[in-house]
Amino acid sequence: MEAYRRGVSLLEPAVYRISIQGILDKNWSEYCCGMTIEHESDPKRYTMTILSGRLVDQSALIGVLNWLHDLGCPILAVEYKEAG
Amino acid sequence: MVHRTRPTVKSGRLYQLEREGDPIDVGTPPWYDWLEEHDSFLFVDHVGAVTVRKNETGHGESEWRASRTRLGKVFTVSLGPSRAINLSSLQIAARRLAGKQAHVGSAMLSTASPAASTLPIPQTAATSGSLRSLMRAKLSRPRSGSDVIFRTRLIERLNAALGGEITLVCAPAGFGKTTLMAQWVQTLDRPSAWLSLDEHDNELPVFVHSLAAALQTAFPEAFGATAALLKAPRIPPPEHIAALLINDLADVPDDVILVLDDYHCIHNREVHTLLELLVEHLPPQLHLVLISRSNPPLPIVRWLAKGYLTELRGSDLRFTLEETESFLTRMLGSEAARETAGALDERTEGWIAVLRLAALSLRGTSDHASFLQHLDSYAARSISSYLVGEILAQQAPAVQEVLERTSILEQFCAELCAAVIGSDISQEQVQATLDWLERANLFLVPLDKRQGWYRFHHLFQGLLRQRLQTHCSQEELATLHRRASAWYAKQGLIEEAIEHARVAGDASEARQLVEAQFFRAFEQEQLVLVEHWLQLLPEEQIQRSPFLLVARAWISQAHGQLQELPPLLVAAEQLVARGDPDTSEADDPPFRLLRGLTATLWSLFHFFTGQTQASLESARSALAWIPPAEEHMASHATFYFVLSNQATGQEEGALAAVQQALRDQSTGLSSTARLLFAQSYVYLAMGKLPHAEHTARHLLHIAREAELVISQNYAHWLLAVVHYEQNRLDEAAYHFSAIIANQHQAHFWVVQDALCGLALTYQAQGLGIQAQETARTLIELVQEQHNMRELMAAFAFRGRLALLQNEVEEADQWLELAGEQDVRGPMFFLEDPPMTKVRLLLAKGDEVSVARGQVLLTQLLQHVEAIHNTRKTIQVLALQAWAYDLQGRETEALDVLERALTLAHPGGFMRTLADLFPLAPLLNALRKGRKARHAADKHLDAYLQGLLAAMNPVPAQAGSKEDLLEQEGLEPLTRRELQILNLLDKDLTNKEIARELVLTTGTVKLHTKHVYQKLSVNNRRAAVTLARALGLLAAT
Repeated sequence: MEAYRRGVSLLEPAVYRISIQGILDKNWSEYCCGMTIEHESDPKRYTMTILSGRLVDQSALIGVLNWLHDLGCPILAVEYKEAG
Repeated sequence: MVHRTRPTVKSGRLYQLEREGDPIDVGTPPWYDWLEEHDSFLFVDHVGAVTVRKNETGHGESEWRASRTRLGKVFTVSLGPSRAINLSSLQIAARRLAGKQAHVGSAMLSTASPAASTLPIPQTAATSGSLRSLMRAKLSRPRSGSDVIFRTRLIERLNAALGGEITLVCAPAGFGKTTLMAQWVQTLDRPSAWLSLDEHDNELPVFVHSLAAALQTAFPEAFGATAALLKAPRIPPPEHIAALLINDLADVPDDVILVLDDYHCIHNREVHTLLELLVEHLPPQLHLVLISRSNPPLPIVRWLAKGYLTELRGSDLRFTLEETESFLTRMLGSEAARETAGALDERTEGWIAVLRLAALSLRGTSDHASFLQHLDSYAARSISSYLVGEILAQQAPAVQEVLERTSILEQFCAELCAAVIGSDISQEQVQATLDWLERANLFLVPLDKRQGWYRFHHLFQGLLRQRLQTHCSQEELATLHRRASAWYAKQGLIEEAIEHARVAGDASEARQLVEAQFFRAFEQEQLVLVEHWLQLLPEEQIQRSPFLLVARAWISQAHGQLQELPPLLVAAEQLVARGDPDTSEADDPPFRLLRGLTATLWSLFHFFTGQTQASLESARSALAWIPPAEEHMASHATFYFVLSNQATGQEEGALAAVQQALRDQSTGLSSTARLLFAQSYVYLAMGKLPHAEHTARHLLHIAREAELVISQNYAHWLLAVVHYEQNRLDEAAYHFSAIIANQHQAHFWVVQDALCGLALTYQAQGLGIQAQETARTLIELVQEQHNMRELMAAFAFRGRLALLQNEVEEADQWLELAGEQDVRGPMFFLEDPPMTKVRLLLAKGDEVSVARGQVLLTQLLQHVEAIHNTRKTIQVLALQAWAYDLQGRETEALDVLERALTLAHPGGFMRTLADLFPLAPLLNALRKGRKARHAADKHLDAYLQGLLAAMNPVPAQAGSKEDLLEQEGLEPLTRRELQILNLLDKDLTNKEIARELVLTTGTVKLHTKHVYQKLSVNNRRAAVTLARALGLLAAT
């Protein structure tokens, strides 16, 4: 029922995948907690950037999302992939 | 350089050498092909230029590196293999190198006089001290409550982290970040500075102000240069601020810890950039701690990899089962703790704030088992909200109300709470509640004990706000904010007042707050503050207020954006004419001040655009509007009245107006300084150099006594220009350097002109390389301003320098860049691009060029005579003499030269003529002619001889420096102080200097302090800059 019971925790490392609209330069990796940055086009022909990688906790995740927001990148999806 | 000697990347494109081909876009396949075949290029962007070179790494691989040389040191950043080079990697490298350059750059990065050595907390109407106390609340380390458990395992990790540069504490709200860090800092034996950030710190000037104030709590004497930025007419870019901060930090005697709490409040890119630069060049004394709820957008990964950074995260901060148990034991006793610890640890995931809430709820119930069972049905977030409800329900309704209503405030004292809650509660009742909350350790963070300021724990505040919103209507909420706004306004805390008025939906209220404060802020020259207030207001409110439009015009002129003035002033005047109901009655003092300031700004605009008659009329109108008691405002109007009088040929009227205003008993010191500046400038324009010098010395004296830093720089400028003209080059170099050493406290044009002047002085001393260096600094400085007109002028000046160095072709290219500029304005400055254009045409010497030069000179002569500028008339006539000479019209040439000399001789003008080497034969011919006619005048002949001698480089005189010190009223330095000065120049720390000279660090500090005092500076960069100009570095 509660999130923490299912083993998803605010405080534990996990792999995340964030999709944003537009192109984010790959050199920004060290500003987003070392997530890898890849570009791809989705079927609707938007150019998208996918950030993926392991984040140490959700404070790091929120940091990345805030940073994307401050850069003006529209966020399309945030996925929790797996613990670890 | 104009010649492209190397392929250059600019604005995202690669420009190859002429013969090689078309530009290539960076990042495209041709770009990568090009990189494979070449091994170096230049990268240029707004931060500066860096050289990028390919190096072989030994494994058949190659690696690119960006480098930049500054003061003989080379700084390098690795860029990786060719495939890794794109625009952003280049930009990042350039930015990093700019930061490094900032670290070592000397002349560029100094500042501040002793005047500004302690931070002026911005004063508005606040005399009650509440502003100071509010600031102090931001700067005081929160005190930890009595029931806090000591977390040895974390304290040990924090101690170990002191080996690195920076500690990041990152976890959600309620994990005890602030409590832990406050506890840790208490255990250390080194000083610490604490800064709790909030939304307001998202503006660079506010952040820098808070930061300097925080550091000054640890070292009241230090951070003068950084603090002085607040008095600056404009805030420099983060790169410069970082350099100043780093310089200031390098002077700090002991190790210090700087804690920035709530860093997640910062969204401003410039603040992040500043912090990043700071961390990359952190002096060894400083350890930085960032506390944040989420990861800040800083290169955390890089810093972790380099071992700069240690982090404590939520998983470290959460209570372990053991800690949970000992915490519960303290709150509930050991039996209850044993019974509940396991379950609560699991439910709360070690979340401290929730544990505390649960413990408080448990206190009020005996059936622990059913309480725990009940908790099970709530998810983590709602547990806290449920628990707050439980705890509040146990309090009296009055207490509940105080808590909920107070939650709209970021920080509060009893008086403010009482004001917000309304009439049905007294301040004493509120204080009693706050005292009780503090004793019970119920989510209150005491900030400043003496003044009784508090804030809520963030999590608790959020939950209280939620409850308030469900219990209160929108209208009631707005009323609370309105009351908070009124209280803050009464205390003179305008920023907070505006903020609450905005939340209450009272935009016009917020506007009126700023309107009411504007003239006071104007009088105190609080430019940065007014600019900040305007940013807080909605644009439509500014557009409907003549006061705020004029305020904006005032800010624009200070930034040198003259072209923005007319639309703003016209809009303000239209509002006044329309008799907008918001505008006060015609005889109201604020209304008269508004009309007076508007007219003053018109006068300024007309004066600087060369419309001298219109300027005079506006100044006259301004003086008629300004009420007699407003001497400060009147002195601004008088300033332009005096200048425009002179420029329309009414010199006597100009000087009489100054005399009259100076005699007025009510004239304050800053007005006196303004009037003396006007007087000295009038003398300068009239060509009366000795008079100008005399007045400027008086101004310098007053400005030093009254600590008027901007006026000090005006005085230095006047003295420097006069001395340069009189060929007193050592003095000129000193005064120009004094401005450059204090550049952040000077108006931009003064710094610009000082750099031109210093380059000319070096050139006259035969120091061509230094002259070029200085001119390069000028161009870099102007480039940062993004002001095209000024940049063109800087290019023109660079061309003039090339001409002085006999590089006609190079000069041609610089002037190509400078473009065409028309003749207008008061010709205040050392560089007039049209005049330089003439110099170039004459230096080319062909018939067509000289003819074009003559045409330009005719226009110029008309202009300088129309504005009665004798100083520039001499220059135009001297150039005309050269032009006639080139055309073989010797009689006319000698005629014009005689006219120039008649104007130049009485004032002792030398360099205007001596900088024109081709005049030498004419001057000789003149001497011979006079002798032949037996018309030789002894004085004039000596003067002519002097001019001819001055055409040869006049080396800086080694022996005369002591006279210079004496003349400038500077106390001579002792042998020991000179030794220390030389070591300061070598970038040694106080400790290293102590070791070198076999002294204690304390003695070194004392000597350093004396050196600063004697040179009238307040940091080592400024000391070294001035010492160099005074020839003190060569002395030992």
